[in-house]
Amino acid sequence: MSHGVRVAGVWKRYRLRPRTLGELAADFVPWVRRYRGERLADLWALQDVCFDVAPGTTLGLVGANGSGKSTLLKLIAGMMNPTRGHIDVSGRLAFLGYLGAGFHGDLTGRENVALEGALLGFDRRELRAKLPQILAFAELEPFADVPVKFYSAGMTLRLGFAIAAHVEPDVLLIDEAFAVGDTAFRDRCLERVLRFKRDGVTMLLVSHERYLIEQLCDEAIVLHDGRVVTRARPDVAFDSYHETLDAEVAGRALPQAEGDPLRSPLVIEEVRLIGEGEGDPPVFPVDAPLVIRIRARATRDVHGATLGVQIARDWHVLHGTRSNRQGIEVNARQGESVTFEVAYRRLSLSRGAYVVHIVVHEHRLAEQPVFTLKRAARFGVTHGEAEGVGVVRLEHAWRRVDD
Amino acid sequence: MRAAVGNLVLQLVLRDFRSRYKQTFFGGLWIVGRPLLELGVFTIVFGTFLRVPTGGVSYPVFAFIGIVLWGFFSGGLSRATRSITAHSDLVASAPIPTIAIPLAALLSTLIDTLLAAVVLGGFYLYGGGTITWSAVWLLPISLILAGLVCGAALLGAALHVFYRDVGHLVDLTLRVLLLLTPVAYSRDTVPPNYRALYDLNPLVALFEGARTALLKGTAPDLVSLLYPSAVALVVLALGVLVFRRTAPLFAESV
Repeated sequence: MSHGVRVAGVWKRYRLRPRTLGELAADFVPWVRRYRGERLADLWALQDVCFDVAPGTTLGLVGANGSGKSTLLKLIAGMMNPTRGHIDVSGRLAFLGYLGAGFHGDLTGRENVALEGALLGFDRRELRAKLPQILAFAELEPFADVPVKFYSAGMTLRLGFAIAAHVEPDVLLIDEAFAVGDTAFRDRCLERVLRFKRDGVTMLLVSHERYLIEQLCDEAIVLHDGRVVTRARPDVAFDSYHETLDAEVAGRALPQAEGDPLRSPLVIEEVRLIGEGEGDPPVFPVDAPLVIRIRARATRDVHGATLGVQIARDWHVLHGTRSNRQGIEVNARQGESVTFEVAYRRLSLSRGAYVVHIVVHEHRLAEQPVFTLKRAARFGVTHGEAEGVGVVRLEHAWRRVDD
Repeated sequence: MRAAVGNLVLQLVLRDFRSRYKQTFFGGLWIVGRPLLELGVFTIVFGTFLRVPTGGVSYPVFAFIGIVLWGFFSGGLSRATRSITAHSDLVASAPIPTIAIPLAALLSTLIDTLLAAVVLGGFYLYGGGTITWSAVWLLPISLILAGLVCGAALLGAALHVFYRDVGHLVDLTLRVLLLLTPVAYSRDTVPPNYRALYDLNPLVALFEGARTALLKGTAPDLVSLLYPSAVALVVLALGVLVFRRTAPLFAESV
């Protein structure tokens, strides 16, 4: 097995405008150039990207939208040429981008399998041998001769994946759009990818999902604005990705109010994190205690309002709690400052960056918050490798029980 | 990988045929309907109204080979020119040998043409047309025409990705060429002092040669075929060159 990928000093420039005949003329005739306006700037989608993927290993590609991940995959797939630099790929390559890209609604499932297979590089003999297997894998045999436009979205997806699952590449490029659909379907996709991995296929995987990257990749690189900023173990790479993201949003999107502050009974004056954390934002050791103290001022006479605290990561709220659930309500006269705190005995969170949202409810039965202060505070959690991956940190112990 | 290109061309042709006449009432009849209509209109306009000289045969017999060859030339060129842009979804989302796309468009047109030739051939024989051994000359003539179409198609398909003007240019050129090529009338109709200019169109010798081989039962003027052969070679080389040079830009430009 010697099928790897080498990306050496790759730059890619996109033209952000179509070519026109006027431009063609300007290229040949100097005086035409003078009559044409300013040219739009080009975009450097990739800048000096270097890495290699050792044969049989899996590399994750992580980065925000527009960081150049898809461009990189397309370059490796040979769909475009780099503006500068070289890319070497040895062995048969398959690119799983958008599933069912070539599907034609008027054609039947069987006919579309033949077409899609040809797009993935199957020759006729392979196709003939695999067609029944593909239809069986997709569990669509009864509908093989029905036009695909009458398929449900799920059926189309299954068919697209079934075809992709039957490629036999040495090098496999997987774009994120790939594992979509319900959980059962996702699991089958992932199971197939794991089998590719076992078979020694060299893989590049683009995904926004920490879990996928951590589970499937040996290493990951982080792309930021077209440059490789980190190459490391997947979890470390993901942390660095979040740090870059945080650094990015720090300037413009720190605490953000949602809802009408004029209608809110309380305005949040201060949110303090009290604990053993160091740094700014503080980083706590795993399982450390944390107290979140909130000082709020009443905008009018307040009776029976409630405060809520949410701990979130990657736009997902991991834990939310409201003071009234423990019998605490906010009563205050207009202009009075009140302080409340919520104490967490142990932060059972995994390594990563977290934010705290503060929520105000008009009364204890109100479901919609009247006011929310997003990202009122932020903190990090750190721990050693033995703690596992994921979002929460469950106390656990391994042992062998069969002897 | 070669086998895979062949399979891709095949599957694209199949997709074209399968999808083109799905949900149509007359289905595959449209393939032969068009040349039949053309033959009918040409017969009425050029045969009956204008009475173009046909060298003693009935007009449908006279026009048969011209309509078939023109169908291939114009159909192939116009379809192939828009083929890459029409398949932008494929080009932008999958790493495929893009040359398969215009080749599939040409192959589809070729199949259409052969079907049309069979149907129109019925009228040809019914109208008193004959087929002699000299009809074998149609093969090299078709080959030259195919080379010309292929080169122009690759050139058109590649340039159309960057300059949509090419689509309009091809449509316009085809309209003009239909009138400047001996499809519906014979070259003999052209006044002698215009012929030198007229013969600059490489299609003239091809269409005249094909008609001579079929109707007169004699070999075409071989010297006259040199010029279209040379043009076909140049266009083919240019088409292949331009296509290969620009193909890596398709995915980011369509």
